[in-house]
Amino acid sequence: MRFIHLADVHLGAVPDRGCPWSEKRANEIWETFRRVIAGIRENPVDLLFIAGDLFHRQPLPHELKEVNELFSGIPETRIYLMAGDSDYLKADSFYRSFPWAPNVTFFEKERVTCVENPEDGIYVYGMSYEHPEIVEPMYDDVRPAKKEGVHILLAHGGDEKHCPVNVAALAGAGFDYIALGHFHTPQNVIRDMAAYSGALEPVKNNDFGEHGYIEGRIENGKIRTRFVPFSVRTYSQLLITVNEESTQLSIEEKLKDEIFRRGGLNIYRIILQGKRKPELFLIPEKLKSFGNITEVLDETRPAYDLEELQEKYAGTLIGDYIHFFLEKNRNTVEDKAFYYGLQALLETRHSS
Amino acid sequence: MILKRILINDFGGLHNKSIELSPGMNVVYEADEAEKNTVFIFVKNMFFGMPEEGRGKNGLQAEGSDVAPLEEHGGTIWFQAAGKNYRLTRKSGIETEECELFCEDDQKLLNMEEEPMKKLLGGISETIFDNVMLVEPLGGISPTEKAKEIQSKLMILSKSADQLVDLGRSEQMLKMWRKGYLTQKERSQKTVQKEKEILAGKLEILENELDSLRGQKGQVAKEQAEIHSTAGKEEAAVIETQLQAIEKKNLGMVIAGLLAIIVGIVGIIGRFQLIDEMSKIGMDVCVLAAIATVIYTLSARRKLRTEFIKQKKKKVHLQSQQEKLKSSREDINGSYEEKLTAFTNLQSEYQEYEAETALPTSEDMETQALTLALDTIEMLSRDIYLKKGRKIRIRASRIFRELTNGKYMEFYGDEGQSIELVTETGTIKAENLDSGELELLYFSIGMAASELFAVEEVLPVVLDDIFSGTNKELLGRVERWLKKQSRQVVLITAN
Repeated sequence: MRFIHLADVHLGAVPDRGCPWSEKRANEIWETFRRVIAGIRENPVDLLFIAGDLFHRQPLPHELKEVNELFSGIPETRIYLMAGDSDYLKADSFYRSFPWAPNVTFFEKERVTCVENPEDGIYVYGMSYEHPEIVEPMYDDVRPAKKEGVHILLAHGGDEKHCPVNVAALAGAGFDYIALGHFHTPQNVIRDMAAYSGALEPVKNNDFGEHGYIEGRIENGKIRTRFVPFSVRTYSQLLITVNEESTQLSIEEKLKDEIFRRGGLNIYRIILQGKRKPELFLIPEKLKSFGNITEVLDETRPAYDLEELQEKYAGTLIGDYIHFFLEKNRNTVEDKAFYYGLQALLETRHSS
Repeated sequence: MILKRILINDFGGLHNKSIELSPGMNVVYEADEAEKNTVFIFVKNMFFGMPEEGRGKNGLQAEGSDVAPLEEHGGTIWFQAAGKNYRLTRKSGIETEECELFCEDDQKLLNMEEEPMKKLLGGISETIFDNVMLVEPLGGISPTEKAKEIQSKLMILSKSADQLVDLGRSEQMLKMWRKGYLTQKERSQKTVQKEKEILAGKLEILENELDSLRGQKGQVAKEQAEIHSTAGKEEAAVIETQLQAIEKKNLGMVIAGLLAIIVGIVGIIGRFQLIDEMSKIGMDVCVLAAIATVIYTLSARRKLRTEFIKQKKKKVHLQSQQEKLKSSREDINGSYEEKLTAFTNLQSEYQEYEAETALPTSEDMETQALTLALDTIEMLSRDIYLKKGRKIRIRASRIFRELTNGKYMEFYGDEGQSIELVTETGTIKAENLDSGELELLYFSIGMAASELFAVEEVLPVVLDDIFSGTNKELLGRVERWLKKQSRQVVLITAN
């Protein structure tokens, strides 16, 4: 038997609002979900688990209809769906009265229930959020029924406001597989037993790394899983190291090469680090034009020998300035202020 | 400290140059401008260390230095400090760096790792040494230019203890950077504002649609209420009653018609069977009456049918109206719920976006840092001024008063404003002084700075041809004043 576990699709999300690629991203989130279903149509799986947050907010009837139409296009696949904290079941949620296709099971209540398929020996447990936050550890005491077969738990949460999860408790619960959702970064909690599939497409600009779904096989009661990267784009943090030979142009060239190498479609946050020559006045903002760049953080510092400078300028304003900041436990702003002021004083100082 | 002898073996183009000096005033004739500077730089490098080859400014390696590799350079200085006589020797080259400080009185070589030179210099830094030991000539030509230069140097010295610092340009640079980030921030905020307007626009459209649907709901409810009102119910009841009445009448007509037909048939049969003429006539009348009745009932029934159909149509119309209103209400409710959810979703989107964009950005951090840098420079500069800087003016005023035999009692203008001198009769601006007096003023400031910044050890002062415009009488006063000081003065001049 084969299954796909995905979560946190967040259909309807509009990531990076205000950026030029924002609308495209919103469409890509839908497109990627359609591609998953199309993939299942071409290469069928028996089970599809969606562990919460299929929608970014309260789903609208036409959105549910579209999703249901996709589901009905893969009638051989049994789909198990739950609402997460983002698309939780409000009193007037359209989830509640929606007539799903026959191959879809939707967990309607905020308590764990089991859907049995004794002919296949598959037991799927799950619940939906009826509130945006659940602080009780709803999954800690859930145990599989004492019946022969494969017992799979769909769970959404893991932080203190959303069904805190005790990994040790889960490991000992007796489930064959725990399909987790809520955290957008895919992670294996217990190998081949409990995993966060992560968001199908990255939604927030700190959803770094690969995104996709988990594909699993059930063979002789054992489960093997692997992560399948599937997203159109990734968010990445790009560290550009600057040294005393660097110029604005060389940094731009380096950035262009890196983006070309890693993929021009991806979205980047650039961090400039290292020691640069003091006469170089970087224009970080210019770097934004070389790709899909959300932010450029300049963490470079002018390459000053502070000890030497402090000694040389002791008793003068420059010496006092260095002394003032070296004495502090500087936070980021103070550190930047230190180097800004020092650079301004030294670079405008007349030659002797 | 008293410099006794300077021996330059090889430095800055000077070879085997020896200068003998004595305590008090020394006049050194140097025709070459470059040589005047070289001697001072040599002394500084001897005390603070020879620069590394190709070293750029501010102690950094210069990129691809085009300075030709120096051969070995160095020399020796004999001096007196803290009551003892010393000999300082340095030799510096591509692969050599030798330095030796020998105390002639104790016949002992001092350990350079313990930084004995620093102690002998009273702990002053290289920059303070530059500022207190060397007084360079004024660059300006006219009294106005010289006055401005003196004013600027006084202010810088008072606020930074370093006359090469350019506080104005530093401030400008920091403000320019800050403006850049503020402009970036403004641009980002415009984008944010635009997005908010788009969202607000969508919210407004949805709100209008909701309003319209609410209106439609109200209208439908009103129409439904009318149908279900007493008048409506009455109308329905009336139609129903009329339909029933029509049906009854119709039935009556049918019965009457049938009876008439029976009577007619009986009449026709009786007509042929009866012999009696009167009876035959009676039967004829019956038959005629029956025919008339049948015709009447048929006509009445046609009319009743028309009326029936009309009333039926009315009934159907009423029912279909009710159905339509019901369905319409359901549709409107459905649309309303959907749009309300869409509206709530969009509201959440707007609120989240607002919260997200209200968070401090990297531009905010940079702007904060730049403001902190500006404020710190101002604060430290003020500190220097309050602790030492303003004393320069006070001390310089006294020196100048002595040098001018009390003509100028005091002067003001160390905070950047024009220098004004106080005389017995009033005040006079510095640019109204003659060249000689301006040079004396400048000299007074230089000497005051030397005294105040080098406190622990009285260092010699090198005056680099600062009295080019001064007459002999004023120079004489300078000489007399200097003789009263314990400080060694070296006047380097080409004149």
